[in-house]
Amino acid sequence: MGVYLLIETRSSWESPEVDRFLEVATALVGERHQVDLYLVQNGVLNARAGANGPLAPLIAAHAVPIWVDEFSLNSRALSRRDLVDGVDVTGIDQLVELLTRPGCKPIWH
Amino acid sequence: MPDGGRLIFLGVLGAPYESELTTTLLRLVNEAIAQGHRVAVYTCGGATELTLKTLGDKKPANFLERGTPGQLTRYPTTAQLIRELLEMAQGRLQWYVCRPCMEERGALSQIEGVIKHVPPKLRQLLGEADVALLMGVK
Amino acid sequence: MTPRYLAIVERAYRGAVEEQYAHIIAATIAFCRIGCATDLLLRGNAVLYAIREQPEVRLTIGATRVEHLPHYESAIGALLQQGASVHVYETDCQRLGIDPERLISGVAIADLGTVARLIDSHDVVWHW
Repeated sequence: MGVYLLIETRSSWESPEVDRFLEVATALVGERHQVDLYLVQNGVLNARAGANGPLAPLIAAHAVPIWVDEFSLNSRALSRRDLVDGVDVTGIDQLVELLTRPGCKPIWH
Repeated sequence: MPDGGRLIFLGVLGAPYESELTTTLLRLVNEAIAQGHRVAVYTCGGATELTLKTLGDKKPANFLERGTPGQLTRYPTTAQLIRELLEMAQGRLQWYVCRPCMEERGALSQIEGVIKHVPPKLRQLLGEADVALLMGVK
Repeated sequence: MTPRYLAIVERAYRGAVEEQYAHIIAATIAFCRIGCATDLLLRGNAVLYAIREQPEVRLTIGATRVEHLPHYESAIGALLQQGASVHVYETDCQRLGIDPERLISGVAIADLGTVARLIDSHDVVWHW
């Protein structure tokens, strides 16, 4: 079983490539790998309540912890109350902890 | 590098000002050092401009502050912030600048403390690292 | 007659540490101050720039406290004081769940017809 950290920096509105990347998370889970998704920069916008889309399958499956960077949220005048349920707001310290787990394979998008 | 923590390799390929890649990079390096890890940053492409000596320590004066009384606000450059990280890290941070990318862009004058190197160095760095993250698009 | 400029800002959040004060809204204010009257239309994710009560975010890198990262609310306030108009695109506000009451006072909402009229009523249009 692999340990994956997917880091998404863009919102799905900016490019259809984002949805394709988030589908990779689902596919990796399907192959029984451990996957964490960290949203940073404009990527935090994918976690907005009513974003209607890219994260819904991941949240419904409860298979992928979804982390939302608080600094990125604050920089966009957003807070926890603007987000869907099923995601966790966190800091850059969490990103470093996820990154430094043994065997972690990170992918930045 | 001194022992301790994990050795994190960060390959950085995005140009400044295009996204918040630089902001996230500096946050990530700062936190990794604070958590006791070792970090090797290898900048390519436009990221080689982050450590230009010609950036100086402070950005040019804020054009909107001209004519206002009092001391002008001082805004640190990326070069200054990276210098701070190198100092804070006490040897646990190595900042590499890709020589061909640097030369291609005329980004020849780099701050003290960064290491100008050629891409084959990547093989050694990647072999030594506990984890490798490539950030950005060239 | 003095030309009138329209800045359409769509690609948002680029270079917080690199820019600090020197972001596109500040540049728009500067244009106004030098006599190039410029109005602003925010589209895409940049509509977030017009939200009220934005926190002032700061960073510590090494020993340096970076105090002045972009604060778009104060910049838009300053731009409005220059006499510029500031619009946000309605569809993007809806997409991002921004209710009109969350917007900075003085910012107007533009539908597509208003966008067309803004473009038509300005002599030069910059799409950032």
